[in-house]
Amino acid sequence: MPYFLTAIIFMPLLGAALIALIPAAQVRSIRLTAVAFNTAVLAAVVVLGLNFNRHTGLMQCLEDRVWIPQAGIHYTLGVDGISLALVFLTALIGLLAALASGGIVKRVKEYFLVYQVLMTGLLGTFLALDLVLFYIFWEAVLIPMFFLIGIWGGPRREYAAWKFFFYTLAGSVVMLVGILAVYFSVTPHSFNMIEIARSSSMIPGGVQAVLFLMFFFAFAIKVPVFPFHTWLPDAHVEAPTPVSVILAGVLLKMGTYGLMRICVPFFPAGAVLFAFPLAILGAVNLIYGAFAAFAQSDFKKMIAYSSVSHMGFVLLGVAALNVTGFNGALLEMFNHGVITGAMFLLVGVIYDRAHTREMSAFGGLASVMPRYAFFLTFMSLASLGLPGLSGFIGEFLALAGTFFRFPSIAAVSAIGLIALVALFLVIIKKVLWGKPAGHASYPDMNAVEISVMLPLVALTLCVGFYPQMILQFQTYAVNALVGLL
Amino acid sequence: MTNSFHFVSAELVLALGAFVILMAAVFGMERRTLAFVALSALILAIFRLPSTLPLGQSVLGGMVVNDIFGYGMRLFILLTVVMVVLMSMAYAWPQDEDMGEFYFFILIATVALDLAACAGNLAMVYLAVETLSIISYVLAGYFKKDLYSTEAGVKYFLFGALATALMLYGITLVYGLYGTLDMAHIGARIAGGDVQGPALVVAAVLIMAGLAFKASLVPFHMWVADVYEGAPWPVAAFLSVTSKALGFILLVRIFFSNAVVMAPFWGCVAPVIAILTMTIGNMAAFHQNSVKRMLAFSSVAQAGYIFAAMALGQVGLTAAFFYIAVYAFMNMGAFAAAAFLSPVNAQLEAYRGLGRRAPVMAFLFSVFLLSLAGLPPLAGFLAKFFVIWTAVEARDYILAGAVVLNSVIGFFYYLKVIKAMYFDEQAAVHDPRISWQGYLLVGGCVWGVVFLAIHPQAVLDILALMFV
Repeated sequence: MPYFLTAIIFMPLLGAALIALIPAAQVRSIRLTAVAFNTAVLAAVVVLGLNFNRHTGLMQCLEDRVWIPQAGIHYTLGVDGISLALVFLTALIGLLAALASGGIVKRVKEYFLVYQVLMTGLLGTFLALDLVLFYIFWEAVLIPMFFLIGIWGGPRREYAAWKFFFYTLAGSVVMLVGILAVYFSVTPHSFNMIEIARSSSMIPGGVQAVLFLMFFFAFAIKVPVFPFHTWLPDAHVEAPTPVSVILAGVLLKMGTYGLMRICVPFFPAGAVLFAFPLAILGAVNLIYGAFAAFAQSDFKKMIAYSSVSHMGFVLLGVAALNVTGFNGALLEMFNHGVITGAMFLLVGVIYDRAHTREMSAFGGLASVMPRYAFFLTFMSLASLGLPGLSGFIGEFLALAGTFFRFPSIAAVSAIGLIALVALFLVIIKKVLWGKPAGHASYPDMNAVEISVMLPLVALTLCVGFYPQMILQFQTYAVNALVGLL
Repeated sequence: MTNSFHFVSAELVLALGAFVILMAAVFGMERRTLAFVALSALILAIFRLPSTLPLGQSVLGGMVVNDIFGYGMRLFILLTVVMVVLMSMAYAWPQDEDMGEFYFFILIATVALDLAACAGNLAMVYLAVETLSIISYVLAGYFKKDLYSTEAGVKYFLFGALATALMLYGITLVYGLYGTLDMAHIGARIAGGDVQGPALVVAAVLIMAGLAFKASLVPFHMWVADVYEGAPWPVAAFLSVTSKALGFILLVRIFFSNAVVMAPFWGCVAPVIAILTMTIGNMAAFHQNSVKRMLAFSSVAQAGYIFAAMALGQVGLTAAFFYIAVYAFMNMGAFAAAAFLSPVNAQLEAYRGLGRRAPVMAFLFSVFLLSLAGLPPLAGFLAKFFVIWTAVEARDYILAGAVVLNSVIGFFYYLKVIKAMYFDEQAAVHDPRISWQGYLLVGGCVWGVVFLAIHPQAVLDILALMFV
């Protein structure tokens, strides 16, 4: 199917063009258009997955057109086992977050316009195979996110928006210089990500180390890796629910995806050199994130810090530099998107009713909102890594991979694991159990809220019992990646 | 002689148009009608340009050269002036300052610009630059009853007189050294080894000072903010795009044909000027509360990026002129949109909440600002990308790093305006009314910003012919 990936990437933008034509007063048709286009994207991605050849680590659905010959820039797209799951995740979370945008009542037309542009940027980032194109999509995510937080956010939205913007921008300009440096250090000069990975051995070890750090800086801010994580709690707390879902579900994965798509295959020598520091950072993220989450009184901030913690698993998996670790990292990326996306939706559900996120204001909700209690318990258990649910598999694989390479770090990381378990049990206890804290009149989750949760619950359960569902797509790509080292 | 006549036929059309306008203005024809006369003259001139072909013949006794670079630049100048005229048609002029002579000055300035772009002789350079300068002083102070505008005119005159005097002094030095003002002869003698030591460097520095003034390079940028602020919006746009471009065009004409002698001098001074220009421009723009002043300093910073590419020597010319082409669209668009959104009050507060009052124009203004900031995928990003690309290729990592860091700073103040339009609550009560000329102009500019991002080939191919 020629231009299938192009169609997937630009479908949301087409939706934006259509939304622009609808008068701002017709909120209902604007919402429907956005949902329709995101459904179409998801359907297209499912078709892509069904036609995906699972028995090769090579790029599929390749599109390659010369864009600017003078500078060797191409328009190259492709999908492989590493990106497929993330593209699916983006499309799924994109649709669910659009469905969950009912709480947005201010400037609805502009909201969905920006939202659709954001989706194009996200999909493009995961599908671009030319470094300049990758950078363009990477940056194209920035401004929509700046608007989404800055206009539709909470009381400190402007501060959070600026902070998010400049943290990410600082990282990405360093990456831009890195991109040019990579271009000039491979012969023949190329921005093509497949070719650079193939000829990475030509880059001298020292240069690889420097370039690794340049790209890592950009990705570390996005992941976020401690100590570059401070934008995340601010952004999450201020962002409206659907934007938080996108932020945690998809945006953070841009960073870890970059690590696996660029840092490891382009600079294998650098990756080997920095594997140990990376593993330490992973453990720090894991432990620090979990403990920091404990210290919060804001429900959303707790989940935000638990995201930092979960990203620690992904970093550990990448630092392991083996098949198990990479599989774990990729699976954890997918699972985290599903589970934490769901957690933020659940925070949103209670915030819509209580108009506060202070943990002390909740309590005893299990008796008032039984359905909510079920979903929150389910997702918390998934989040803390209960065997049988998807979170466990990714975390287990990532830690197992780490254990092969750095047993001591894997052992220390267990502290974070315990802290995470405690964290989510405390969340369940404080929110659901105990005496109802005064306001017992909250309505339980409505049909829309439940319908948004159901696919996430289903995925958590299915992947938990049958992880091959996701893993089968990535096996060959991961093997190919390890083969480069 | 026929050749010469054909060569200047575009300029003759403009001069004729200018005098028609002057006469008609005397007899009280209103500005709107005169604008159409000016527009027709410009469009006619564009269609007269091909009569210059074939290229390569010597014309006007060697005062001008008929080459592809000059041809392209004349087209560029004519197109940007068309934009200025369109902008002046859509711009809400104050009732009591609404005078038709404006278009007379604009057309005569265009003649001077055209001839300067093709100059083959330093005397022609001086004549054309001086004509342009004098007209620019008048245009900057065009609002007689407005103190700021008068101040702008006087300030521009004082700085400008100094700069052109320096340039004239440089030119006389060159004449004393070589006994000719013909640039081809001088270039050939320098290339042949006839280098007149320190005197030539002094002459070069003096000439460069005059051009740096036009291009608003540090330290000749001081006039920019005050003059732009006081000048009518269309004049500010004219100064920031067309007049600034002329500075760079003449730098190429005078210094790049004699690249041999300029090499040591250029290599150590130009990068410093480039870095200073972008940094000082950005730093100053950062603190402005007036959108007009902010855009003025932003145009200084942008000149720094352009000059950064030129500082790399011949290899950087393609990047520099691609940047100028993109800059023309995005800067003209930004000035136009800013002018239409709030014609009188250029303070940042006046732009608050315009994202809802004038959604289309505010959106386009944001596009121009983001392009100026260098956000992908807009053309402004590609322009900066080529500059950085060329710098890295030339292994000038300091220059590349300076451009990168400066573009980060740039985001702060460009976003500040966008923030005011979209985040902040409504402050102003005016509903901007924008005529079709305004939408035509801004639409054309946004087309340029998007088209050059998708298909930069269109300009790069032409530039490849100019700078082989």
